[in-house]
Amino acid sequence: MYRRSFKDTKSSLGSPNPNFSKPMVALRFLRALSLVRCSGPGARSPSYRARGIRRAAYACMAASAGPRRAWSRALLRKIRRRPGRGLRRPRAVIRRRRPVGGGDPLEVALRRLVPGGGCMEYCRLLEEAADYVKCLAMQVRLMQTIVDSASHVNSID
Amino acid sequence: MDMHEKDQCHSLKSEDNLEYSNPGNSSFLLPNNPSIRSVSGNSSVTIGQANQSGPFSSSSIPMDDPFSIGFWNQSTKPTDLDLCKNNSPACSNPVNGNSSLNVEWNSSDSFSIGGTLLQAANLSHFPADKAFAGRPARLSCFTNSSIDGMMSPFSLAQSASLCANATLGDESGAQIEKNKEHKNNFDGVVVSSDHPSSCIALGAVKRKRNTEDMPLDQAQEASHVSREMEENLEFEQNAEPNSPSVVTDKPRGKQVKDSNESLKDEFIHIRARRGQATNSHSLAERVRREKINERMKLLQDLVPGKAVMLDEIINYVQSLQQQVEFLSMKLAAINPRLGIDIDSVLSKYLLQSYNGTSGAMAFPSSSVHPPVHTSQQGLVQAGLQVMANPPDSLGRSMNIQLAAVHEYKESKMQVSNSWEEGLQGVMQMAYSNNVNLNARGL
Repeated sequence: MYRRSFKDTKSSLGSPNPNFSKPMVALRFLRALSLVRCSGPGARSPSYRARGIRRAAYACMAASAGPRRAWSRALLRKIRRRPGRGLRRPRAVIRRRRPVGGGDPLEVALRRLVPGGGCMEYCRLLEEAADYVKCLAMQVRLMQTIVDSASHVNSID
Repeated sequence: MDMHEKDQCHSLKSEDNLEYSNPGNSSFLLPNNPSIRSVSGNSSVTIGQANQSGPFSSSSIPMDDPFSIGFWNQSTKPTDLDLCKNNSPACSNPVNGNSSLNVEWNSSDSFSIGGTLLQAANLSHFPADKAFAGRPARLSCFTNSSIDGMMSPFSLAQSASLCANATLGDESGAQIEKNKEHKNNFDGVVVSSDHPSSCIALGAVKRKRNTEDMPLDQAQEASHVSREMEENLEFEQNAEPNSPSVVTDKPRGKQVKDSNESLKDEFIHIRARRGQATNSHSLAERVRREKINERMKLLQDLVPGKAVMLDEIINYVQSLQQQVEFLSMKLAAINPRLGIDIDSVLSKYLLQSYNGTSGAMAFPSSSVHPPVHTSQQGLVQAGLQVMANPPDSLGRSMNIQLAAVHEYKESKMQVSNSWEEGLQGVMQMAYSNNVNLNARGL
């Protein structure tokens, strides 16, 4: 279901802008949200739904960030990998271009935080981290807004 | 020097915001004195200088011959504009889509330094014959040595002063002073930051960012830089103290090329960075360090509050991720009752927008809200937009729903961000749809 949600989102909304556009993320996320919930609200526990929503959030974020970003690619790969697809890309992605010596604990921690951070050089890592932080912050703001408006609507009724 | 480097990094960050003027055409080689004066007035490295010589050197690396020869040959003629025109298309080509780089050529002084030095060399002061005579001689020497060496702003200045000094049969005192002044200024330019390498590094950085290339390019450019540096230092060593005030310590032990022997007497003394090795390795490292510093600054700018260490950045990222988790849990708890209709509404809405003529339909919130700062009016306009387009049944239903939403408007709060307003508008639509449909369903 989550796969479907993500794929549908991507196909229907077209290719994302290379620039990060907020309305794209918002609509995409809302779409994904609705798809997450359509599995049957009563059938699933809130925690299950929460996980699905989180996954959808990351997927939307990565999808709207564009495939040019290493972290978005890695994030999508991580999200899609869960169903255990048999289909592997014919061209081998060269992972572990430079395995980290792990001298700096800060750097190691950053690599763990940023998706796809294990294979990058340090300055590339910093660049990706900056972009990731930006998108994350936007995603958080988006979700906060949704929650606020949802609670507001709920309080009205 | 560090400050300047950081400034360079900053400027790199903000390169998109630089005002774009016509690159190189008019002010590249100004025959006027104002540019000269501006050079002399500018004793400290400015950001623009670094940026300019960056693209200059970086663009020069791929294309040496046409630029150099054309440059030098044409510079002797009073038609500077032609030179500029030859320069800008030639130079702009190898630079990968860096219009910003070309632009920055114009916007500040370091380019004009080379240009004005050239002019000081020949245009207004010397008879053209001498300039013509002197130039090709120097040119040949330079081409022998290395074309890369020619291309650096160093070598430009050097060659300019070379020509200037060489062709001077009789230097006026004012002329000498002017040259020295330029040299000094250029020295100031060069010295105060790691100029050529940083310029090239910055150019490399810019190119990197645009093309996302491998570090091989860096190494190549670093090696280019190192060659240039070596040659510049060679020049320094060979030079007779022409401007005694500027002589400083130069690293010894560089090999001298024979072609440069004849140029001993007329070199500019350029201060190398004190205690800095000019290996290709260290240069590349310096490039890399600057890159890293620049990225760190980017990161620190993104993180709210003071983030001196990477530690705080990591904490911030972790907190953001935790917030995502928390909000997702909250969303899961708070919205069990949203039905499938949102999906259909949204998808069809979007499909309509994509099929329809006005792309603004897709994001009525985003397109409408910026001029309007109340969610209510935005919704009205969104509704108007919807009604304007040929309505199918869905469209009509959406219009109806929008009208229904209108009733909710008064209760909605004002949000500062326009896009959040838009989001709220969309949310209101969705919720109103849901409410209506639920009401109808029940």
